[in-house]
Amino acid sequence: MNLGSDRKTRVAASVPYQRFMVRPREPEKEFCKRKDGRRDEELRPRIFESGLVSDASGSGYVEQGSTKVVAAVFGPREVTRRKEFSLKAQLRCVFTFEPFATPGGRQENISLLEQRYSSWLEESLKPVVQLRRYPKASIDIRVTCLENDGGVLAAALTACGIALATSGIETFDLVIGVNLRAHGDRVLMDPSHAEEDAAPSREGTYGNVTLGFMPVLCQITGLLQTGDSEPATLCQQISSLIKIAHGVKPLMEECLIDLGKLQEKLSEVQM
Amino acid sequence: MAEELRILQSQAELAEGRFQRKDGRAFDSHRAIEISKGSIGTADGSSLVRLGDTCVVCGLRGEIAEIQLGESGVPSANIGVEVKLPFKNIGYSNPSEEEQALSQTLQNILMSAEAFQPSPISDRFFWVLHVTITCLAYDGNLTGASLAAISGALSSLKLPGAHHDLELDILQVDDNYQNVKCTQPIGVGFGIINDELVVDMSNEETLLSNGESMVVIDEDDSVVHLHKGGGTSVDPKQLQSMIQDAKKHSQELRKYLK
Amino acid sequence: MANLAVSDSEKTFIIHGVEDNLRCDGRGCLDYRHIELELGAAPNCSGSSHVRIANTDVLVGIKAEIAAPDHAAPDRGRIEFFVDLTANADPEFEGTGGDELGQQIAGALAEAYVSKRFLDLSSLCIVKNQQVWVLFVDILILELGGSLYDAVSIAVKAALYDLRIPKLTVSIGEDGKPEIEVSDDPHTQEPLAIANVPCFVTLSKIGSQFVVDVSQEEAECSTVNMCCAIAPNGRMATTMKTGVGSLHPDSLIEALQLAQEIGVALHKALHKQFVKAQELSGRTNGFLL
Repeated sequence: MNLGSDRKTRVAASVPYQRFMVRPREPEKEFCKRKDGRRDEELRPRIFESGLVSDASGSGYVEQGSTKVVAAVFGPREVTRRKEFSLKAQLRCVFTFEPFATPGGRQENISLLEQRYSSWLEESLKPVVQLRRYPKASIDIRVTCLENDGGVLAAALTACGIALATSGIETFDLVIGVNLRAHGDRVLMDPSHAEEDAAPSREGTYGNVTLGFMPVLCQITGLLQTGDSEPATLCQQISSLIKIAHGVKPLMEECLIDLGKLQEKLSEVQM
Repeated sequence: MAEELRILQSQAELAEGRFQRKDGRAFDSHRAIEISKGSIGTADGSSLVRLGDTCVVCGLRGEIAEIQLGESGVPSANIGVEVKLPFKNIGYSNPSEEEQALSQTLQNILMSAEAFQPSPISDRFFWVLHVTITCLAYDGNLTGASLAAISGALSSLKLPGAHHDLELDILQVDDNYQNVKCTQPIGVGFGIINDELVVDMSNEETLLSNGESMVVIDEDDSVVHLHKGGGTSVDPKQLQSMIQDAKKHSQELRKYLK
Repeated sequence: MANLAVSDSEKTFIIHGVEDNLRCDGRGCLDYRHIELELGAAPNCSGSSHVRIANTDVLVGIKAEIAAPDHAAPDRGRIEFFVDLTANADPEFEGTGGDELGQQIAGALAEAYVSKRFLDLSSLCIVKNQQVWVLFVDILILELGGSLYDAVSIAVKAALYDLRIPKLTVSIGEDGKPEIEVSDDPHTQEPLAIANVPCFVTLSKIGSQFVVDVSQEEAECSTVNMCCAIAPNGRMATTMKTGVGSLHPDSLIEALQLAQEIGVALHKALHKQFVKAQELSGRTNGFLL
């Protein structure tokens, strides 16, 4: 037995224990009250931080309830390969879930979701950055989700917004991600993972809406709606999301001001 | 640029035989450590460790594996380690060499320390622990910080009960989460700069020194892993003092972990 | 995506044309190009279609296979999308070059088809918890000519219309386990209910106007697209913003309403053509059947 050393250290193939859990199937009941006792339009407490990642030009950390996302911006760096030359900067975004981040254990098709999130974030961030200012350069953004409790995409976009703002890269505006869950006539702001994943309402609209928004320029940089909706309803939801984004903006500015003060102090010390 | 110049300056100072630690620490003093446990709800055990400017997140997941034909009893390899440096070496293919090397080292340490000792499920099924280390900020002594994070996460590890019904051949997992028996290895990193033993090096010091050494101590104060890297030779006396120092520090840290 | 080199003066020409509601090929802003539709293009698939919109050329084949169901949905079939961008469409797609765009399209399609309100997959269940039909939808993109999402979704809907699943009889065997028997009579093959299946309508913003079904030259002039999956009843399964630009909430509202109107009209026209195309493909009234 155990001839090669490789065999000794290789871990046997295993499956998440959640597969073997027996859950009593709850009858699909309409949830009338939110689990955490919030009102429908109430947001979870948010924590914004910056300057967490040491090697990056800028970084942001967002906690939205217990959802935790870290984003870091690298660059702008020179593109050396001639084929990749362009007059605008190239912005790349890579989003990953930590293996322990998703409820219910590791998921098999997570890489597909990661790719979808990556390209959505990329397209929502490109309108924010002044790409023409950085010809022949590349800007990389890494986003890592440490815990998923709903609204990962929105939290990720906000974290990228903070990271970009602290990186010194020229942008048009801040960018804020906000999301909601529609369930029949009700609109739940900043849903938890359980609410996001809940069974569709019996009739009427349902689904998740995530919006990326630049508050000063009043521009929508990203939109993702899933489920079943109607243009009129979606428009209403978007305008209420925009209101929420305006509400979140001061919190984000506060975080940036704090970092500025800290850097000022540091430079005084070094002098 | 400024960073590179700073290192050049330190190297010049080193060549003249003057060496001082930038943060004013004595050669044998450790940086302050901060550990917060169980902050990630989706993981079975988790911790966040800040060691100076090094910041590491550790998440644990329990999984169930089946004993393969031809194997007698539960295999000793029941811990898998994955190290991720998502904010370092951007643009390289994943996992990078550095990540692989650290994963393998940590796995070897955890297995020789028998860190994860759950009660067996049955003759056919056993628990496997998957450890994921994510480094958010790097400023030296990543192995030491990772081991502290793993120890913190292990002490908060809770797994549900699993029952294998032999007659019906059904494996069931309940929702009665319980603490799992674990031992916590504590690692202390050393380096040698100018023939002096320097403990818990920052990134800059790591670049100045000739390789890192590592001593890992388990709960019974015995050495489970000893590694000397780099191009300089070590006096047996220095090795002895490394082990002594590691023992002392691991006791302090263990108090902190509880 | 593969890019076309368009000079600044060409762009200005296109943008000015769009402002006057006249495009290079003589269309108005909200007109589609001619859509060529062929059902049963690949006879050895369970359902297939071939769609051509000007230069955009898409071939879709669906294979129906029996497999174990998903953990989360034990009483429903599955549908999986694979998009292959051939190197014919653009040399950039050679090797793994087209994977990223392919996965984006596949992901968007999966998102649009996930709800049972739009595509009810419970009829694809054979034995609950054990066996279901899985539809593998292979999408081959032979040529690129703009408005890829729209063309792909039309082709997929056509292939689903063409889809015939063999009738199965399930009996409980002697050992208490269900046994499945496939009927070999082609008359008993069943179509899938696709009355509510959505199609993508992509509106690109050129200048200050929204334009439907853009050619590749026009795509170079627009920075932002609204991609909406509209069902025949006018409801939306998924909406996303693609492209590198941003837009004002007011234009978003305009785009969504336009997409709904266009989507409903598109579905009506498509359905008519589906019936015609099926007659031509000879699937229902073939030789000796």
